[in-house]
Amino acid sequence: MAKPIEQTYPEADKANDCPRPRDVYSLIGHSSGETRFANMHANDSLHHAWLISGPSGIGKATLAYRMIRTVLGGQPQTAGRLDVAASDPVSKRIQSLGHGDFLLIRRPYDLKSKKLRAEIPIAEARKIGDFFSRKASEGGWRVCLIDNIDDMNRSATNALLKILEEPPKQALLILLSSAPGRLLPTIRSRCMALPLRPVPETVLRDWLSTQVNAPDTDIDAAVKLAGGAPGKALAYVQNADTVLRPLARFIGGFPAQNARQYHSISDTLSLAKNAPSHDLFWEGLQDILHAQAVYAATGEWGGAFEPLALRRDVDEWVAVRAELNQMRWAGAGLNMNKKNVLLQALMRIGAA
Amino acid sequence: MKFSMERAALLGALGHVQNVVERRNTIPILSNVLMSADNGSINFVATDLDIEISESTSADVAIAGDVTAPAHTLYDIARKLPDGAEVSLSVGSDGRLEVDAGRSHFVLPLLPAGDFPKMTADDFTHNFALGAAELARLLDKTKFAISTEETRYYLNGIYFHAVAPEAGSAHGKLRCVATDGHRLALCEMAAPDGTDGLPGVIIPRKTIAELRRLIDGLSETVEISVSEAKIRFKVGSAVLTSKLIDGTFPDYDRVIPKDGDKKLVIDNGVFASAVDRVSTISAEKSRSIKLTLEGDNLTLAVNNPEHGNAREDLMVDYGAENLEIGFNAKYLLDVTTQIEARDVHFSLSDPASPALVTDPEDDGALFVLMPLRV
Repeated sequence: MAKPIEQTYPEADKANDCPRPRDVYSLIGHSSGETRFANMHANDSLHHAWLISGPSGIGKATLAYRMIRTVLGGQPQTAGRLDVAASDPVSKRIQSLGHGDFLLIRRPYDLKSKKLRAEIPIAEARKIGDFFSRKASEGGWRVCLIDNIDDMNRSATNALLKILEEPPKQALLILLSSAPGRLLPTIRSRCMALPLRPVPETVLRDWLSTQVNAPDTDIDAAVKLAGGAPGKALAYVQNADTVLRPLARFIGGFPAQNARQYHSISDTLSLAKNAPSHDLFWEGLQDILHAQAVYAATGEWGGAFEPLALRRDVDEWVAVRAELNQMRWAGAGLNMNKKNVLLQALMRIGAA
Repeated sequence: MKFSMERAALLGALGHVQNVVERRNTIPILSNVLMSADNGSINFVATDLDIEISESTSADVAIAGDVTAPAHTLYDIARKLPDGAEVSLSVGSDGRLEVDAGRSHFVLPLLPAGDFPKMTADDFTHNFALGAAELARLLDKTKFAISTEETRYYLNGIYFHAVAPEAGSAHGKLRCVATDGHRLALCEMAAPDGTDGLPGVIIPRKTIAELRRLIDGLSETVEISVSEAKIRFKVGSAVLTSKLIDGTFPDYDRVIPKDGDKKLVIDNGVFASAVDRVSTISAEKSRSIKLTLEGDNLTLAVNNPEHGNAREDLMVDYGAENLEIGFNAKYLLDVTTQIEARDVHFSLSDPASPALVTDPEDDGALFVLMPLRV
């Protein structure tokens, strides 16, 4: 069968190697938050604005879409949950972004420059006002999802504030944020906060082994590195060849220094096609250094793989981690050669 | 799904519905037209989530079914096919749309009909009919005054409502009002049957534009259905359904001046061209123009420190005491284009009060202009 020639554009709310959040129906963990929302909806006492926060990959958007499907008239299969089936007509229209009472605000794709914008500009925020100034298309609630609010620029945020202050009836705004502390306090104070907690490792491992067909070592490492975020765990497993295994080889190589290996890792990861893996590798590296510092202080190992065969005290590990963090962001900010920055970082970890 | 129809019929149907589909669209399903084939007819539907236009036409349906295909592409194909061609559309074995006409063969991607937006419209409380020309008059005489200011979103449309009969008259009125806070336009007609208790609704600007395009030059009857949240216009085989603005239109009656004791009558054409000439050097932003009335003489003057001065004298019919009043030249010109009679009537009271502008040959239309301080 020929491949469908459907035109698709890059979508800002889709993480690499993960399905689009609006295509995901199962939620891992977060059941207390979900029940709280479901009960308020059932009692007709829904707050007009919700701020769902947590690190990326934890399931903010997945939970939000479950809320949206229910509020827009989808029928949950279980009482007290928001598990609307994928076959529900409402789910289908939300999935195609063709629901008249649903507005998704994300970094827009510019058809002229053929690029995703780096932020959510005010023109996008104005769409929210426009959307809520119209009556509902299907006669019930109108829902706007902002994925995510950290991408909004200052003037867009101010435009949003106006709507949060005086919401129309039967309007629901769901804001996603991975750094809620950076939001304007005036926005935070007008939203019902729903911080998402890390998914327990056992739950995450069980779920991950049903999702992908990967060796147990990969799954264990991914679960440890993900820090309770299912989306991140999935990304690690799917990038096992470029992230997990090189990371394992790198960690296992100490105390010997293997310059050839460092070159090969940073060569592979600096390729344009491996950009998502590159970021993931950095995050993994920093998580391991964090675990290493904790290990040096308490003697308890909570990270992925085995502890590094290097003797250092806590302060030194903390310093290395801070230094790497600085290198990474300086590299990104100054648009430096990715390979060199990563190579330097790898060298630095082993250096005394 | 499989059906065939004449190229002209396909072009006509798609021509109506494809207007509402935005050319630049990053949501694939909104670029598509929904085609539902059943019982010897095809229904084409396109939407931008605020407005939905559908058109049904008869066709030779071999296999019933619903699919969605790119609206503009399909329209362009229909446009380029030779006149009189028989076009056949069918879903191929690979799940794509095959369009065949003569020796031409096209294959287009499809999206499932279940993904297509649905505008529920089953709770219309009021149904009535108007002539297309009458409806066009109501819209044309008011739409120029629609506000574009986003913060006052309830002014971004035409307020469409019924007015109860005045004492001594048997029939109520069907009235359209639009204002942007600087000017107001009102146009009314005798209310048709079925408008009793019609809720006042605000029809968005874009809907007005689409509707106007749909009824342009027609003399048919337009069937209108109104509910709390939506309005539907049915013209021939085309149906336009739109969301309404969720807001309360201000009590406009209070700003219509009723005590204007100074009556001014001017030849509309002469006045319009004089305003146009004098306003050439008015400031870009305020566009203000001063009207000085002394006896039967009207002086139009613009004093712009940067670009110079202009003045023009006109003979008018004015009997009241002398008056100096300023207006926005653009607003004056907009109003004069709405006047059909030879003369335009102004009723003024003082330099700080709004002017009422009426058409002596059309007592169903009136305009209010706020003055400027000059």
